[in-house]
Amino acid sequence: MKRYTTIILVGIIFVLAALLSGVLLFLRNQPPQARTIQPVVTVQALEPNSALWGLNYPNEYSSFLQTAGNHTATTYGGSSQRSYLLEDPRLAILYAGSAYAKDFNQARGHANSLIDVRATARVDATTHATCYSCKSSDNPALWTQMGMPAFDALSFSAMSSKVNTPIGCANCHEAGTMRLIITNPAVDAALKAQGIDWRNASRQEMRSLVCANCHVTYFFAGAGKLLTIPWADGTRVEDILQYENTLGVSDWTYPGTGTQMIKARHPDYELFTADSTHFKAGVACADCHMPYVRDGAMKYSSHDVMSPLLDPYQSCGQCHTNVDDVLGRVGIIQNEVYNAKIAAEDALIDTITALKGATARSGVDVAQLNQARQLDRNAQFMWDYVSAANSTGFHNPDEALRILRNATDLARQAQMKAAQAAGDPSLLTTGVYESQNPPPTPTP
Amino acid sequence: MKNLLLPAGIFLLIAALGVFVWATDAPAYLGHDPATCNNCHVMDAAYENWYHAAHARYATCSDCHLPHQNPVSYYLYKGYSGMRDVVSFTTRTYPVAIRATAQTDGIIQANCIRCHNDTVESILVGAQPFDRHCWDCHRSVAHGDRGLSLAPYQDVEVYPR
Repeated sequence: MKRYTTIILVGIIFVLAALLSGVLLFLRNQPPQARTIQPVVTVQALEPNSALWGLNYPNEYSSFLQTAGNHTATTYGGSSQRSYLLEDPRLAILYAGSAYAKDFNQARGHANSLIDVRATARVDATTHATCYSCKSSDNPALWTQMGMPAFDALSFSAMSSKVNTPIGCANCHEAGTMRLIITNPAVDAALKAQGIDWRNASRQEMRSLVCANCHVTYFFAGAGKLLTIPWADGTRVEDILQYENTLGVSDWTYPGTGTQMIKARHPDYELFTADSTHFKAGVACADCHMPYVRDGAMKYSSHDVMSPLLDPYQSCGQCHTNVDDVLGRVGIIQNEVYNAKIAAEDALIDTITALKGATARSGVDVAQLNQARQLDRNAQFMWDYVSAANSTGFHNPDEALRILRNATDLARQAQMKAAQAAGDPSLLTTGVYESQNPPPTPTP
Repeated sequence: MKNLLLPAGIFLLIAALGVFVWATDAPAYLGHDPATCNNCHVMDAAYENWYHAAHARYATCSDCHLPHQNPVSYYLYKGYSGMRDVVSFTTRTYPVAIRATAQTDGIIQANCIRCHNDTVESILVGAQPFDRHCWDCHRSVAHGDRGLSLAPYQDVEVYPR
């Protein structure tokens, strides 16, 4: 009997030891735990259809769809399609002779990009397909297939049949990994020109860099109207101006003054990254414009990209505890920048009036007149750099005020130079816009 | 008589050590009561502001400031961190504004995720690593609106009595 007990006990020990070894080996061979989202469908590379990506990321997609209906205005911005020309008629004078004098409305949310670009009066028979560059999630695939020069060389109407979906997932994300990527070849080239490879950027840097896919200033190079980002000399306003002056870029000739004008286009990324307070503190565009929000127990980045002022408790309140105080501060900054912008516009209109007068006259010092035109061109570009950017200076208050200060100074210099060229002090008349458009007398 | 000197000496040494341990409440340093961390008054601001902030009901100092992967690393770091504090307090080399070190930042971040994993899981995933700390934005969750201010909670406008 005793012999059997020993055998049974040893047997049990063997079985338990084998079981334990088996369990340990099983655990050892488990795949390492990783945070992951199980995809419902496989999204092909450069897939333009955002709805397909949305099956895997329903929260992000459904918040993105809200950009279609978010038409709210803030004091100075928002996404309400307000007419800049009607709100500030000085713009119609400053943009005279360019397409911006025909129609210049505030942009609506991302999902409206195609409808709005097709509706604007700025597009006509001569417009190139370049104007579709930032309007469609079809573009990354088209750029890969045909290349950007061929894309831009086509006419707007010829491209219309190929471009069917508004801005979407494929404009910023890599399918499969969902990594943030630069998809715009012009931005890739502009970064490369500065010796920057965005592929080495951190996630937080990419949360701003993907916005630079579109929210940057640009010009059309050559007869092929190739989209070009003027960053080779740097991304400060002076660097960009120097680059465009060296190339002799001209977007239009101002009627009556003969000045070769250049248009600044929403340099939001450049202005924000020019050592703004928030940028230096490590804040990315997405932190304020796409704040993390909750749905049940899950947190995700809202893709309803909009002005943070439309939901300040979500956007500013993540970091700032006293949101009302913050809103007061934003109001003060934007009012100051707006007033400085109007002062620059008044100076530019005085300059244009003086230049017209000098140009019409005979026996003018041509060298001095050309200097005056160059100053006018630089002044208007610098004013436009702040005026055409979103945020009414909030992206970088001190930089915006610095640029507007220089714009006003250059405009006044241009006016004096024009008067000097004509030898006529009457060209130094100021307050031209105000005298022609007196503010309405308040009714008692 | 001579033979008794050594044992007596050892006994006295042990007794003195016992009195030291008892008198200084040394075993408390093995526990996780935040009041123990505040034995040194340099921790007043950190303690006071934590006490009034959102996490006081849920997390103690060691819940956030010590690694929780396993008991070994927990007690090793507890010893290291504690001795570091002892040295800097005794030699008066601690900074005026006490801030978490880069090493502690990593530990705190891991502890944020340890409790809030379900909520933040979907924003942590991705081909690129999540390269920020939770408190870069959520600045007031741990030590309140006044952070590590040395003059806590005197603003009656913000904190009515």
